[in-house]
Amino acid sequence: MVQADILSQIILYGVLTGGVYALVAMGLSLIFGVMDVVNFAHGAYLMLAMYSSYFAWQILGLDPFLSILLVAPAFFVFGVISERLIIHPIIDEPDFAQIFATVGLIWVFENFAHYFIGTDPKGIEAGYGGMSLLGVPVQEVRVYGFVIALLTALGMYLLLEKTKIGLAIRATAQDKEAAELMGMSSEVVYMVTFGLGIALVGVAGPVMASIYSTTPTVGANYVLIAFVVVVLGGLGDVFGVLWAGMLIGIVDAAVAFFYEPTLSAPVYYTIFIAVLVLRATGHLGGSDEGLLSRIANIASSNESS
Amino acid sequence: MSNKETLLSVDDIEVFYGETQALFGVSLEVYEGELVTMIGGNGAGKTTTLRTISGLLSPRVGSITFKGDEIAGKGPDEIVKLGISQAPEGRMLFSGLTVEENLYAGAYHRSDDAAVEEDLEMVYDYFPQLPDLLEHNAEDLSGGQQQMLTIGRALMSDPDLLLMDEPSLGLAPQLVQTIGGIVEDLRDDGQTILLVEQNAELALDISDRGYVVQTGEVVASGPTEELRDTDAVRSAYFGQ
Repeated sequence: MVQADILSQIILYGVLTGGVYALVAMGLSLIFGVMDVVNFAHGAYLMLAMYSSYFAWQILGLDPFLSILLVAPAFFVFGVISERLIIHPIIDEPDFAQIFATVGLIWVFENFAHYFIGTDPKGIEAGYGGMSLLGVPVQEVRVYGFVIALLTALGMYLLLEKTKIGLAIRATAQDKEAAELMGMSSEVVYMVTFGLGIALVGVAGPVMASIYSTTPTVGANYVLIAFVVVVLGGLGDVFGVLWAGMLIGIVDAAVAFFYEPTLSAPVYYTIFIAVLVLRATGHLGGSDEGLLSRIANIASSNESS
Repeated sequence: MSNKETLLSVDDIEVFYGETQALFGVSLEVYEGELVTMIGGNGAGKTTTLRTISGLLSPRVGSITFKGDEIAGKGPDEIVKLGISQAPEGRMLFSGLTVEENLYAGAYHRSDDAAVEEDLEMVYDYFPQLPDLLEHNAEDLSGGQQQMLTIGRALMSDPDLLLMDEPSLGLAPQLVQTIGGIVEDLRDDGQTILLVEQNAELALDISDRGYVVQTGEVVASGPTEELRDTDAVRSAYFGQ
């Protein structure tokens, strides 16, 4: 039998980590759900956001959590510009054009980081220590990161459900042509959606950088988890993504504790495939046509990175 | 009709899907306050004409003027702001959004909030079933309710010209009559309408004037009572 305190440790640790995974996945889910674009470069954007927070701390002495106020808006603009330059020209092209374009971005961003920053891991020492939560010792940064993930999910929910641009985003996701007939410019909706998706990375990056150290290829470690979370949680479903993130976080923590951390990835893949098979046969009521084949592409591209 | 202002004028438009020509010089006019119908068989070009007026397609040749201004080539999101809204074929509702959200989506481009609320009440007057369904997702509605929502959503943009594409399609005969009655009511209340229908009997019954289209061309036009007896209509609809 597993002792109760070990179990509660695993669950708490898993939930906290999972919230942060969800934060990384939220933007991916939004962009995929609304624009039907698989942003393979999501992890590379995350890496840039982590470095941004690192340099804000190193140069300006800015606390990583405070730097969100700087990094997130900057990444919104970065996302809008990326959409205009990279995504917009290929939005109506076949899938492979999107894959080439966004995978190409990974190389651009990673090599940029290699060249200008180097491969030494960069960690932020912002002076956060440990604390006790429900009798379990945890790092403060994980708790704050989790709270930020919750607040961000709530903010995204309110934005999508209660604002006019949120209505346009959801309507466009459902039927782009009908949305245009209502006066919703899909060009604007796509710019804002991609901007928001990257702004979410701009929130996730500083949180991640406060917990983990940053290297040019750090994004690849987390983007696979993000894809699993998106598939589990549903496209464009903010709270679904949050639950899925926590579930994966718990699985992650349990596998790492009972077996060993390197087994986590095979376990994700198994969950991933099981969900896809269930969805494909309609057991979960999924109607994501073509998702299976696209996910296969995602999986194979991640394996090679 | 002749003393009324021309609201919409479609002049000799040719429209292509890729290399396939769908419209071979369609012309039509809609005057203010009229209910005009466009009838014709499957693939005649009725939907293509409406999609072109709404800006979902661009004519390669020809012009479309609305209130005297050229609108051909403008995007659908611009055209709805100028005062043309569409209740499209197949309804094209936002199936995962609620009835209420669908209605507000129709008013998306408006900023006159008070008038939007008034128009919402007006839509409820035309479709008394809708207020009870506000929290339901559009996909959970019956076919008739979905059609009502489609028309209601189009009305929420406060259009000067309402384009309706096959509102009777797929509905039970009794509902077809109901929808037909509502279209007449809308016209009687001053709404200018261009109605596309395969159900020629219904369309000719309720409309002021009509155009008959066949394989991308207008083959007959005129007041509906005259049109009913023409060869074009007889051959197209009422047996060879």
